[in-house]
Amino acid sequence: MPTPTHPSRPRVAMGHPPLAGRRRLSPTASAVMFVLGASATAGFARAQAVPQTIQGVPEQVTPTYLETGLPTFTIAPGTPTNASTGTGSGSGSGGAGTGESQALGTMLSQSWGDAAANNAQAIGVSASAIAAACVLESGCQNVAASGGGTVSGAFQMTNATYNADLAAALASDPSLSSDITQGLAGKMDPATEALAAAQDLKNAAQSLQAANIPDPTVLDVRGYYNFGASYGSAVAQASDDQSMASILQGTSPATLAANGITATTTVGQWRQGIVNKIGTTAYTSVLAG
Amino acid sequence: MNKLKMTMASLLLVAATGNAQAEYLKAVKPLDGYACMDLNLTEAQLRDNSVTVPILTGPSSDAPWGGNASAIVIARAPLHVVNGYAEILKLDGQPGWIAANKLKPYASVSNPNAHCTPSMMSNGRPGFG
Repeated sequence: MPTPTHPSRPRVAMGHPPLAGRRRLSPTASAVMFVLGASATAGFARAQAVPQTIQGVPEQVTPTYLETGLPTFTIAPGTPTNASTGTGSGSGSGGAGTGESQALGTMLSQSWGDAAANNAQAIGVSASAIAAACVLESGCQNVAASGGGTVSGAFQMTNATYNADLAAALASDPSLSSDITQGLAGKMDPATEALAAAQDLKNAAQSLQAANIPDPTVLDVRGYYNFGASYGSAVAQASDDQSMASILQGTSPATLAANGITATTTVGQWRQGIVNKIGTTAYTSVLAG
Repeated sequence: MNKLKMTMASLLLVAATGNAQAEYLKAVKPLDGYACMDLNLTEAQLRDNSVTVPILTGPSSDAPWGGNASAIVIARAPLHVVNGYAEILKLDGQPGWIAANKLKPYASVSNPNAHCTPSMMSNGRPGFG
């Protein structure tokens, strides 16, 4: 069980292991493959079939040179028949009108996903932001505590952080208490834990707003959620080429390692790891409009 | 020749579309007259959201609260201490004051070669380069 940098959440492993058994293409070969692929795609787009109307039998080819072994044959002209006119109807939709993110899709595929999204939105946090937190923390799996720690749930919070954040959320909207699982048991009810996690994201966003970041994104607040309030704004305002060890300067090597961070991991690489996991959701606003 | 042109075109296409890592934030220029300093807290305290170091708007205990300090602080260099409070630059660009005994020289416990340069960032705000 990795030791979390922040007591509320351990890290889930970032990145993917190398793909075994796959040969890596050289850059030039990759480039050529890319161009061929692009050309093929473009060609396909230009070669879309257009319906044609045939008047009578198509013109027949009279071979001058007969192929060896192919018997002579003739086509008897007949009366063409029209294919029946097809009928049909259809309807389609473009997904959720709010531009449903991939992370949100992952969370909503869980039985508790809708309730979690609603709880987050009730305190002003976007559904995509809370979905990103569960994808990054646990893959939206309700993980039990292990290794003697208290970090658990889909949002991987400690008991202390969960209690403090949940109390703050309920203080801002007491009516929410009727829809949640009471006590620490609520931490293993993802919809209830989502309310506390959303409060943590809201706290993070508000602290960054105080640092003159008017519309904090999921990527901006990740440092706060992952490493705690003291590091939140420092990570958000660190240069890509800085090392994470320089910004998380009070964190031991063992704790960094447990979070998948080496002495040479840069802030930019850490950010890219987040983007690789949740895509453009990383750039969405934490606070709901 | 055709092969060369093909390869060049391919490389250009890859360069245009295959950017492996997007640039998010970078340091534009150092902030003269400032240095990074650490909060004088333990690792456990830094991880505890309930432990905060207040920034005041003036060098006095009764000055209004101006936010909470981050683990790394941009302090005046050389340190400017008035009435036991050190002058800092908040990340919103405004000046602030922190109890001087809550600060210590910048160092990373996990990387002795780590450095920190207070900088103006590409988003127009102070940060760490």
